Amino acid sequence: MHYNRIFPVCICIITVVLPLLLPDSVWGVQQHGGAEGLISHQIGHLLFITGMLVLFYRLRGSSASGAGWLDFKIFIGLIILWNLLTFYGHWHRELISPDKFVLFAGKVNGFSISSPADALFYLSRLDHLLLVPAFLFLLSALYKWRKQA
Amino acid sequence: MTVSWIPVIAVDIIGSFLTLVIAFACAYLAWDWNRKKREDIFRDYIFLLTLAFVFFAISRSFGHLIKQFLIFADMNHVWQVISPFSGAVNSAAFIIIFAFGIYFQRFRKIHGELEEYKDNLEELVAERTNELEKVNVFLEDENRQRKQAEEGLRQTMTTLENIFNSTSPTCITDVDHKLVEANEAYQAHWPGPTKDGKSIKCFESRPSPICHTDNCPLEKIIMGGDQTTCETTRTSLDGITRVFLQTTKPFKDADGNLAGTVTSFQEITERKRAQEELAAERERLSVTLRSIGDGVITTDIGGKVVLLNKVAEKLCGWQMAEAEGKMLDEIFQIVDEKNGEPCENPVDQVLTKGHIIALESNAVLLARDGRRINISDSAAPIRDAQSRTIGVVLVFRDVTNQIRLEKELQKNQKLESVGILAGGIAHDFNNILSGVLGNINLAMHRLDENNPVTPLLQEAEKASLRAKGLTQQLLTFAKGGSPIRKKVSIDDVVKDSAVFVLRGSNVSCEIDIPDDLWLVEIDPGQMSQVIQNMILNAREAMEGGGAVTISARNREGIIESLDVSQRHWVEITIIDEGPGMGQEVVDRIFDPYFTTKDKGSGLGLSICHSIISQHNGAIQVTSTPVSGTIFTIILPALCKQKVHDQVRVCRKFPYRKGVRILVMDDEKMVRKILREMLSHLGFEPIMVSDGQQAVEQYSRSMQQGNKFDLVIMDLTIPGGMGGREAAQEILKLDPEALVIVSSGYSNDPIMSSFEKYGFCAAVIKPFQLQELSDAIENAMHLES
Repeated sequence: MHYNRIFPVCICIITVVLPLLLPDSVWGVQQHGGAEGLISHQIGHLLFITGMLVLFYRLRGSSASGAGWLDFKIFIGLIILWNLLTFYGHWHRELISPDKFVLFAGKVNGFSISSPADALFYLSRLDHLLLVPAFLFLLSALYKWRKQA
Repeated sequence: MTVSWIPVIAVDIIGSFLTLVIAFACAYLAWDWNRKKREDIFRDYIFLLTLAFVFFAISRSFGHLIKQFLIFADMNHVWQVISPFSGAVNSAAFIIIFAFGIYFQRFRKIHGELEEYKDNLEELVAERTNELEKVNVFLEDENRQRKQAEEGLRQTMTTLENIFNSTSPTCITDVDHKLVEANEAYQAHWPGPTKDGKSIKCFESRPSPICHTDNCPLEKIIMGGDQTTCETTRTSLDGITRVFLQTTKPFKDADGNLAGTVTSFQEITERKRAQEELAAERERLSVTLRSIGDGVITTDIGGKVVLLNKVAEKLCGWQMAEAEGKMLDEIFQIVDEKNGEPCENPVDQVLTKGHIIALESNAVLLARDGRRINISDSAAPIRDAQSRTIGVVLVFRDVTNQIRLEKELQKNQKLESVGILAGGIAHDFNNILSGVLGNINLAMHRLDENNPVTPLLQEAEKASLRAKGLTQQLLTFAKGGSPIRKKVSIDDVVKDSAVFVLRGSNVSCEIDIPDDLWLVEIDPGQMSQVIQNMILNAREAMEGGGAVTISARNREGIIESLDVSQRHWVEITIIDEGPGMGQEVVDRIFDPYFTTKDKGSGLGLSICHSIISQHNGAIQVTSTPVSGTIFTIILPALCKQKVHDQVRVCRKFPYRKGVRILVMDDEKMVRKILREMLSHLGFEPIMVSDGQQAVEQYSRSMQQGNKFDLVIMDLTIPGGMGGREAAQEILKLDPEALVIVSSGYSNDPIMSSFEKYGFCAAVIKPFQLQELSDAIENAMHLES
């Protein structure tokens, strides 16, 4: 049991720490830069969404019923929505003309919405409105589980 | 339409901050939830997934906050530098979360399997727990029982230990002689089972002469013995020796194999001492019993002989070893003396009656050697402490001598009675004969020899003399006083008598008398009569001739039937070779008037018996029809002494004429004949009838100066002064008076020893004229 806990932690740490400590090497080795970084990030979101979908799929049915599980499912759903929203935001950002941003003193002060895509982009900038409730549901699920334990 | 970007910034900052806070809260809850059940892999999964989300939230929130801060601080270029890092971390977080997402099923399956496994395991555990609980209950029950058993065992062990320690000294020894156990009582006397922490051997604990020998109890049991018992002693430090009865038994283990011996010691010091005292007491009693003067026989209730003492052995002729276990009537055969019929078994009588019984008075014991012994007997039951009869004790004694003495006594009493009667008759008869014989004498002296009456008077005189002899015998037989004894040697009496009786006969005589024969104090005349009677009987018994053997010997010791103070005796034995006598004749031979002769008076042996009895002696006869007769006379003896007789010297009167004689007699007829006879002899008689008159007459004559020259006095005067007293009175008046005693009691001591009583002569009635004349002449030394 102890080994089973340490092993994934180590995988995660290595996976996270290496790109953090050697970001250039990561990029450098691939030598893509620019949009390639975005694409890899978007792939990350897709993987995130895929993982969450798989998880959500597995949680169907009565096998994951009971106190906390509904909150957890809501959390997963909100996370999926958040990923879709932010995926769209990252993708659409590359397509938006810089003119759409209203600068003031060199800083973005407003955004010009000229299409639903722009509006959706603007909403994607407000992704915390999904993320914070999602984590609240996670907190609620953990609280209930903890309480049941 | 232009919308403000501020909400974006605000939501971004506030959302990042809230996300950061919530993420930390989630991390805490996930950690805390997981901490409560660390072995739950699904919780691990959620915890790690939560950490991944937290990591994502933190990295993103911090990135957004930093971005907003840098933009706000016009440091957008910095943000441009670090934004790749932020994006990379987020990407990494996405990948991690993805990985967790796709591994959810895997974890859940594993969790499910684990849960199932866990459930199975729990079920199994439950079953096992149930089983274990049952087992536990069983074990608890067993444990309780075991504890109870242990408690019981402990109590039992304590009890056994208490018992072991409360008993007599006991020890357990293994087959190697090593002491295994020893109780406190044992250790109080002997060391063990250990000494200085080391086990010791039995022969070290209690050394004994039987150790290392074949008599060792352990070796005996090892060789297959069952139980051995022996005695052992232990002397304590204070010098007290105790005796123990050592009992050794096999000690076997639970499988029945010999593991050693268990030995117990019972102190028997007191019992031993009591046994020794009892044995000594038994020995004392046995010695006492065997030393008793009477015969003692004890039997069991079956009549089997248990014990004979010495006297019983002698009387019955059986030794103790021979008689033990035999039936009583086999060794103790008793018959009735009169009819010879067997007497009833005394054991049967005692067992039937249950009390002491006495045997029949005529019981005769038939000894083993054929002897017939008169016995006096009693039989009594032997009772134990519960008064149960366990045997019979017979006590008997030889009463043959006693019966003989009783018969003797009866015979003496019979003789005495007859003698008194005979004495009275003889006395009166003598007085009568004195008259008859005196008158015949006078008549014959006054008649011529040629007178035809003379032969008739001579026949009458002869018949009177025969009657006189008969009265003499009667008087001798009837004599109640003591014999006229002299200290003489029986030698002369025996020899004179034998020669006198056997002269001219065809019977020879052998006399065997030693020179050192003691003197006896006897009446020689009476004793001569006895000896003559014996020899005369012997001669008559041997009509065809033969020999009479007379022997005498000194004998010392007590003779029970005679004076027990007498120690010296002379025993005279007269043995003939005649045909002997039967027992019936022997039994009656001393009876008066009993005779086997045609012309016998039946008084001879009665008189002999009387004479010997009056001499404080005994006469016995033993005779069988074949071997002749043996008379044995036993007389008290004196160690040789001289006999000194004092003879009174009488005055001498040379002339008979004018001699005055005073005669005193109560019988008128005697006075008359005496007057005639004295006158016929030339004397001058003066007659008085009693002693008082005689004394007065003599005194008067003295006063007148004409005293009597002689006095003849009758010895016995019925109702008046007798001759003895009168003589004493006269001698007081005139010490030189001459007094002749006259009496029909010829064997009266005064007649034999007249000198001692002051008389100068004695004349026995009836007397003839010549006898009277001789007596006067002897008294007065006159010349005839």
